[in-house]
Amino acid sequence: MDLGEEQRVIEVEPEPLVVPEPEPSEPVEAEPVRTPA
Amino acid sequence: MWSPRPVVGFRYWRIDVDGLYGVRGYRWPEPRLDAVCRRGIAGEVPHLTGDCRRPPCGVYALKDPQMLVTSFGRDSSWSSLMWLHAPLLEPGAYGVVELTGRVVEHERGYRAARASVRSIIVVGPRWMAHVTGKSQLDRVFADPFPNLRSLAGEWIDDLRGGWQEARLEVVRHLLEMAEEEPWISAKSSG
Repeated sequence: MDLGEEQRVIEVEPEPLVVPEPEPSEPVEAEPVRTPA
Repeated sequence: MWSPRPVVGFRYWRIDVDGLYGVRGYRWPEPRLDAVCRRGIAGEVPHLTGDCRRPPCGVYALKDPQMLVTSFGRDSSWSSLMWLHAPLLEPGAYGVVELTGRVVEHERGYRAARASVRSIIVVGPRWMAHVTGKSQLDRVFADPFPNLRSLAGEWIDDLRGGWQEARLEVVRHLLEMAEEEPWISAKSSG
């Protein structure tokens, strides 16, 4: 198979897919429920 | 030049009872191939033309599917008359490959460090089968004949128009698959 003249070199390195880890959320303290006296 | 996306090219394989063979007679046991310089010259493959005797090493692929179908397979040896007596002739496969690693671009094609098959069209005596998807391609390359009909995503029977008409269909399929995004393909075919 004659491909013809060489033209250029391409370096193909697919980038790995990086999924950012979710940041841990701060625990939320529930306010005490006040019931009417 | 650096690219995060594979370079897409087109290839032909001859199909024998035990597997798919490249144009130079090397069997592809699976739909992936890493280039090796058989002359034992050191350095990263594929070598540049000056570093390696002709034909230089690498996994070859053409840029133009039209050129592929007129250079290999039916067109190179078949006439319309031969198509009518086709059961005596062996089928071939035309495919879309993704080239990665070092890819040397030439005027009409590429030489790559690695090739991975995205999709093939198997052309037999008056029939055609389109095979895509990793597991289906793995099985066809390992043992092409027993399961070809069941593995084909599309099967076209009774091609009465002969090879002249069939090759238009092959080129159409190849162009369609070349444009498809690989991750969409993997997702849809499992």
